[in-house]
Amino acid sequence: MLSKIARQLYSLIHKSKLERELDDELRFHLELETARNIRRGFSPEEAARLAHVSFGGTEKVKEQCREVRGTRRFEELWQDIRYGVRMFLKSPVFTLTAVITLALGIGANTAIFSVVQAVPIRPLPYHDAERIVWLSNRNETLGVKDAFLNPADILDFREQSRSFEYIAAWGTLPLNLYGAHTPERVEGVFVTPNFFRALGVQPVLGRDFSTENESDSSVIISYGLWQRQFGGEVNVIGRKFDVGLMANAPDAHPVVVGVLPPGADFPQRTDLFTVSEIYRSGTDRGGSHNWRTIGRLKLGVTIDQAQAEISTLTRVQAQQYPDTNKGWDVEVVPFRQHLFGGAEIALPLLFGAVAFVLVIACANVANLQLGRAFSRRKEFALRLALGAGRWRVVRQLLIESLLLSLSGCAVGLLIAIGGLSVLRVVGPGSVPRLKTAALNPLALGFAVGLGLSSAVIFGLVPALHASHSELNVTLKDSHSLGTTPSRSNRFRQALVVGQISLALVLLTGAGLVIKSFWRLQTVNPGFKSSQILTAGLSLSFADYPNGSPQRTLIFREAIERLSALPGVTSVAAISHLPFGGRTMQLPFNIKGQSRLSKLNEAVADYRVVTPSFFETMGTSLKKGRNFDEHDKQRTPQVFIVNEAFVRTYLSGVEPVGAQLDGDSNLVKGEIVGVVEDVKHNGMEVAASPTFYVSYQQSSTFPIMNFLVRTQTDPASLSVAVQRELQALDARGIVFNVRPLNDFIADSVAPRRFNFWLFGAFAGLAVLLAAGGIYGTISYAVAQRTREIGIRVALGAQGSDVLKLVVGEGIKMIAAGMLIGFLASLALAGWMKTLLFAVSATDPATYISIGLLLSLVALTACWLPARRATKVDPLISLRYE
Amino acid sequence: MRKQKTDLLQGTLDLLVMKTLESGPTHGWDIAQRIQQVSRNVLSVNQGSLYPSLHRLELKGWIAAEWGASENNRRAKFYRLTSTGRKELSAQTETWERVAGAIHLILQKV
Repeated sequence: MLSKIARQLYSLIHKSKLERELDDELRFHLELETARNIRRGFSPEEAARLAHVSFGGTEKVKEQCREVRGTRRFEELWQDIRYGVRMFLKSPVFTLTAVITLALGIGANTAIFSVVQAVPIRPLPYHDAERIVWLSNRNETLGVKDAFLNPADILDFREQSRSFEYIAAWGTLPLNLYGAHTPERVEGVFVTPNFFRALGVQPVLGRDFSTENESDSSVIISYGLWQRQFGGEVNVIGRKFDVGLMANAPDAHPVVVGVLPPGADFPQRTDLFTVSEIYRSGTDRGGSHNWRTIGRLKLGVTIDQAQAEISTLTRVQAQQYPDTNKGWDVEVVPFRQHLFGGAEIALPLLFGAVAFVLVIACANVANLQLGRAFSRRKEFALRLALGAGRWRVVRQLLIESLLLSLSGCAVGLLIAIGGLSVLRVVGPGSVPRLKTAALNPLALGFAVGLGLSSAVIFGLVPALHASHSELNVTLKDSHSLGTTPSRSNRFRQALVVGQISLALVLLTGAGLVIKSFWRLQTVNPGFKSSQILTAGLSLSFADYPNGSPQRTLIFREAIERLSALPGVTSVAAISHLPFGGRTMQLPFNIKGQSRLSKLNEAVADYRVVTPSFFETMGTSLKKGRNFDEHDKQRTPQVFIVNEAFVRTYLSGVEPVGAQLDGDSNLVKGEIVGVVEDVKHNGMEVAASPTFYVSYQQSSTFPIMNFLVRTQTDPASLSVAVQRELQALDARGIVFNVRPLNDFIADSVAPRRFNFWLFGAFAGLAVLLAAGGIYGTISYAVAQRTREIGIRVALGAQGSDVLKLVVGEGIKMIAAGMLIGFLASLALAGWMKTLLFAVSATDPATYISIGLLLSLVALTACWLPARRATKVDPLISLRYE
Repeated sequence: MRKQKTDLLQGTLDLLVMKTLESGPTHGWDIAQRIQQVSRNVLSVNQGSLYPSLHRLELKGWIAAEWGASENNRRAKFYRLTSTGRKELSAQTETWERVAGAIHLILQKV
């Protein structure tokens, strides 16, 4: 079979040579025959004639020989292709529209689907990852969400819950790592011994923590740290190194007992795990809410079951310990949702948006093809009448449809490749694995399949229909006055209605996203981030132990040195950088506030700052006074709180002068001032209640983040700042030397990403839908030219004609808009997660989007309608 | 067309062509002459119809063709039987003889 095709192809390629040889061969035969006849005594003319007679028709023989070669079908195919290309070139607008429409649909779809495929659909690198859940505290009365858990509660859940195989917890513990390859500040955590069992991760080297009597000095390191600092050597197990800081263990020289597999990256970017079990400390339930908690569900237990059980337990706790637990509940969410958050929610929506665009594109192509096939009915009828086989006509159409869709696919592939590389570059870094997204062949196949089939089916079906129709009827059609068959028209109208409604859904979605982004841009973060350079300094815990006055001294010296740098206006420092992650949450209560005694378990973020912090950041003091150099170790402890703190815990009470109390000495003291809210945890997150303390009164953290306000470009001071800080302490580690604006840009990046993509897709959808309306109305006008001509001849005015044509369009637009609005409202719930400070059913957005789309649609309608008013009855009646 | 001539089935013509080529390579006109002579002009090949047959056999690989000089020193296409063609010829001859024998028997009996 293959060799036959190969031979046929050979014949096709060498067609002219074969033809020449055939001529030669036959001529040779005739010459010999003529010569023979002459020898028999015939005159040369008679001899030649007889030779031809006995040979039979030369042309017929040649044709038979060609048929033997089997290249006829290829030749016909080639003819069809050439004919198809000619037809396309004759109607370039149709061709371009169809190709671009398909290409956009296929290209955008493939690119986005590739990203969706790369990012969250891939399984997590944990055993039975769907059984892992994230547990967080919430308190609706206080408006607290996603808070960490209290150790006593965790122990209760471990003992009483039957839904969980493990409940594990951890807290953060940044460390300085010395004595390996190069000194480095690493992200560290302290975890309960069952942490890796809950996560479903086994060390690739060494062992997991033992759940009984694990040594405090045991640590497990990440694969990355093993490679980076220990050269991937197997003898790392049992090795001691210096971390310079080990808050929970007296030993600053931990021993490596295990190395994690490469894929395990939870908590994100964590390199070092120390062990710390939770113990009950007497009757104390007021321990800090500092434990981040995950659970592994038992086999067969669903999230809902676990949530129901935990909620029951929290209600029991609230009754048993009303002072500490009233109002608190625990939320159980899938681990994946906790990990990917916004990124995972936005991508399926984007995919939905793109799928809409693809459907609209396919509808457009279908519409174009239907119109075209209909207008060519006569051509086909004529070809059939002239003796073309039905298959030949159908094949012609098939080839044309394929040509069209293949060109669309080719351009679409280019768009997909280009689009994907753009997405990789502009996509936010917070979207995991986006940078590795590659063109997904499945996605391409799917989009191409859809594009191909819509072009082929809608090109072919009407043609098949036409090829079966009675020749007479079709050819006579041109002489009849009637309008065109309504079935095909109605279908095309339905397509347009569908397009408009899909476009409206997309457009309202995009409108909401755009409005969210705009709202986000106008959010006041509570500070002025431009022209600030940040730099972290992490001291060795061993050199600067807790309570050491040296900590304060070195930080003060750092402020002085940095302030002396040329181009620096002011310098401040804070323990936890805005947008740099959560801080410690401490429980406290307020003395003398009986009304608040029930909220004994109030928690707030604890941040250590220098007195210059608020001024340097441009955060305004609302009440009371700022910290000053007189607030020292020996003087009474003072706090400055933010407005969220006052709103949550001190509403209707004079905050300045209020006394805070609690189990920890850190929270005992007086409030002396109130500052405006700083969006420490991100632009979109409401500021959480926070108390600030002066760095001279709290040496809790051996880490400070310096904020250097500069006169010029902050980045230009990076080298100088790095040098000054490093000069202070040889074992101190300087990190995160970046303009503060970068952190903010990172934090709004996912929204910016959604904004651009949704905007682009909605724009595309509107263009395509407008094209669909325009095409359908234009076509209807062309079909009804004769009818319009008659109307005009009978005295209809231009405005009557306009009304007639636009009226038809308005019906489609109105139907499409109605369906679209209903669908948008139905889908609004899905949009919620994507929105910020905008309701998913925001009336202003809906109305303006509706007006915009109506305007575009009416314009698309009006253009062909205006052409219709110019119809000359004389010409139109002679039409065809 | 003074004489009554017998039309040939297509497959039969192929067989005759191969049989003719068994004795050595030759060109189309010569094959036509030989079939006519050997069959004592009973089987008159419509000379033109020989060529599709030749091309078909060539495509099947049972005969091969090459260009060479004819007796009168003209460029002519010479056909020869290939080894697969030879096998095919003997197989087809056998079939033909069996069928012809059977038909002969039937014609005698009835």
